[in-house]
Amino acid sequence: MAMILVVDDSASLRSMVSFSLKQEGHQVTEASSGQDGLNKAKQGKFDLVLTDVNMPGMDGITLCSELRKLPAFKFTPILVLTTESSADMKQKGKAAGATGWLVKPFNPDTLLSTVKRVIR
Amino acid sequence: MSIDLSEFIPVFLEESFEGLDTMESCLLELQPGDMETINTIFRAAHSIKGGSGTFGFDEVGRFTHELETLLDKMRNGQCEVTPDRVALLLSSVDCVRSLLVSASEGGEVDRSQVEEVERQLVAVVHGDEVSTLADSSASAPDEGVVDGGDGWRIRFTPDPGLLMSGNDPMLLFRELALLGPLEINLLTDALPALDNLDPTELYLAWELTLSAAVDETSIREIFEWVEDDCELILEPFTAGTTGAESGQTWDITLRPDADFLVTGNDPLLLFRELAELGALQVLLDSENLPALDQLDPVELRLNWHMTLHSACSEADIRAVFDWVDDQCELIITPVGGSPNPESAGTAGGAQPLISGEPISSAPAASEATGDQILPPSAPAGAPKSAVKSDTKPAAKAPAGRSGADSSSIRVETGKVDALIDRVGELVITQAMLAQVCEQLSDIDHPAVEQLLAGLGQLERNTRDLQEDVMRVRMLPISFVFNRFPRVVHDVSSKLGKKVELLLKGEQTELDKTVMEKIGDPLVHLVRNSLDHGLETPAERFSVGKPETGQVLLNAYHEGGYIVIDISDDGRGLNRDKILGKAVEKGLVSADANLAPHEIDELIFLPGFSTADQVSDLSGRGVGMDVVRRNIESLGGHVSVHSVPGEGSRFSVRLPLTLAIVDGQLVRLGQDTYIVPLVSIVETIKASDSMLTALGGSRCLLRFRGEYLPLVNLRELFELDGPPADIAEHLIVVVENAGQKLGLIVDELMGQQQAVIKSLEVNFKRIAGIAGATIMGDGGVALILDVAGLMGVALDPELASAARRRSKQEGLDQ
Repeated sequence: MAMILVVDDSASLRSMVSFSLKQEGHQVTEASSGQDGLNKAKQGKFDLVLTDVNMPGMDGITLCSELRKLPAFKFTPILVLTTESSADMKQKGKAAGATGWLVKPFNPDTLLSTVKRVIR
Repeated sequence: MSIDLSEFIPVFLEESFEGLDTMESCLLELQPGDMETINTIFRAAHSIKGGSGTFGFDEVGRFTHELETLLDKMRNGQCEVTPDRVALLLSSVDCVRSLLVSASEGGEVDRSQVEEVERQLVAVVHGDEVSTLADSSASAPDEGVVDGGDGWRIRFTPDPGLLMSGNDPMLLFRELALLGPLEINLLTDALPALDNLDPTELYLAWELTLSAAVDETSIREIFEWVEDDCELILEPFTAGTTGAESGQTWDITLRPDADFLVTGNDPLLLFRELAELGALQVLLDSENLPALDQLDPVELRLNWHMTLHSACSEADIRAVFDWVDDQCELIITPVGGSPNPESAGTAGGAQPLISGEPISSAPAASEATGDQILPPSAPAGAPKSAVKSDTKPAAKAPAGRSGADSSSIRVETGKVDALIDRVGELVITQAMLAQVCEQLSDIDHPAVEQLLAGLGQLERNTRDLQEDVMRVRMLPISFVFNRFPRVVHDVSSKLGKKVELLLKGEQTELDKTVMEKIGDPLVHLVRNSLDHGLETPAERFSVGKPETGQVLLNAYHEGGYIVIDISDDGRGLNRDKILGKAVEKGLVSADANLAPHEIDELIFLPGFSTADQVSDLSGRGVGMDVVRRNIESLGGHVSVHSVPGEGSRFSVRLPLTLAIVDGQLVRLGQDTYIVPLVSIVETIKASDSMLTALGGSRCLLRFRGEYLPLVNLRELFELDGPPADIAEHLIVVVENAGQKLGLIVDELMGQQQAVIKSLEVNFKRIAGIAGATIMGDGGVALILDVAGLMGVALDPELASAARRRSKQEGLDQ
């Protein structure tokens, strides 16, 4: 059981992700934008952050680097959800402090097995 | 676990259709170099693609992928924004929309069109630059795949900063262990002394032995997230190379006390000593490690599990731990035979690291390291769709939508309708209470006064509540207006006309149901304006008008109705031509003396068309008569106003809601009926002199210079009661689609708002009746549907007699 923050501007993806995580017994907090995610991150404790990359306003990459500036998130795993998995993209994600990535489209099983990799 | 995704599909579809609308409107205003707009379009396509794959709309996903690739190139500047490409993108939006519709609701997709558009997309995307595609597909997985033999020896040396990315070597090893038996050997050579140690840095390296015949790719995938943050050496081995010298294998578990370090002892030094006895493998168990922020660097929270292959005795091993034997728990078990990964306890199971016996220990340094998280690799199978290379900040959503997201919720229409229904019941109950209360008003009792006051308040609150609830169903008309930029774009380019579309009053609110039904009639009116109203640029130039014509859509509220004006600055209606056509088609007689506005109204007659040739746009068999009929079926009305040479204006007037009707109550025998006010022209008291009897009981009413057919509602509905005394009867003159009709009723009662209950749902459909409502006294009143009534009650003979007489009358004057 982990506390997981899910950031995605798409309600369908977001609810699918959080539904799947809840099925596994995780506690999920949803945020609908990068800024929303950052605000919620500051208010809570999380074991893992899952964030979409392409979002209006603050995107997932910026969110990563903002989160890494917070002491509480210094070592927290952050996975970016993206269809953009080219080397350039991974580079930017890594540079911003992302732990890893999950490539869309993914099914709930892939999601859960990936999450298991970063949850103790 | 299997999770049913279908429940997320409606939300996905709704999002996608919104996204498509966004794409469409952005494409229409897209200028070369407008990065923000391209980004917005890209993001919408991107989301649709992502969701399509996830929710199983594979065809949509594949198509959108090409679309997205083109958009990506546009925003990277690799591909220019040209009108042709914008048109292609617009067609693509249509394709995605129809693919989604057919995937969700069934129905046919024009395959050939989709394939054609896809072909064009591919041509644009890959035509100019095949190399990019090759690059991206080649880059990823298959660099030097080597067969693993019997297993792999892996040397993993992370960069010191690895932990900062949230990656943890232990978790990587856990993944590796899923592939097969895994032995983990910690290398601490680079570990500095404790006082030089930065707990956020990783000083450790590992040597791993994976006894599984997997290919290199599956190992590299596990390290994918960290491949740039570490040195990773993979070496295949075959059975036997791991074999050890003769001797004994020992399982050793060390669980140091938390204060182990205060004595200056260092487990790592102990391990070094141990390693001198033979081949040592060390497995770090960090399960008891608290979160970093709760970590006391002087306390040891780590445990170790070791496998030692050596000819030594247990006493030799214990001797190494001599100094610390009161500070730790030490378990030493002999394992028979040569080293076997499984017996070493480090391999196999899904969670070898965690299953090891936790001890507390390790200098802060190794704690930190133990905690690091290594980047796991992307899941296998996923990369196929992952060709994108963009990391640009996402574009802003169109203003208004993003704001709406945070402050609005999506609710099923059914729930809102149920709420409206319930409030309708409440209104009826309240009206009933008010009636009962009237009878109490002459009772002199303080409680009665209070009751009356309370009921007054209830009435006000009920009315407010009803209004508020009705407003829930209301949406700004921009939902309909948003279709028009595309319509105008497509139609005007087809016609070769230059058109500027102006929208006004987009925030004017309208009931959702009305909104859904008014779209098509409005589109037709706009097409009509573009096709017939506006001149070609050359024509406009020759009469001194700007070459670009204007079409204005303007919505506003007026007396409980919403009015939508569609005006153009074109040539106006050609009355000679209209009249000529109408006469030719026998719609009016050649000698009819019609006022200009009456001529204009002729275009709404069935079977009328003024186009010189049936164009692609207006030749769809939908005439103005259908437009009018559709609008009137919504309880609305359409009229036209035109000035030759200056333009025309069509005004559509609609009720704000279909749930409530403003009605005139009329009595027929014992029953109350409601005539929608919107249909009523006038109510009059007829005298004998106004009536012209025809055969039987039929007669005409002479009314303001014309003859109207009369219908006795009591007869029509076969109601009992004394025969109507026509001479002193009340007549409600109603109008629909240009046809007037007199309805004979027994009594005119008040006017009131009625909450419409569907007769179809609760009983069955009856021609001429729009629905029913419940009155304050609990009685039921039927609401007349004037259009339907004319179909049932209007005798064609009677109608033509009325027209003949009216014309005759016109001639006489």
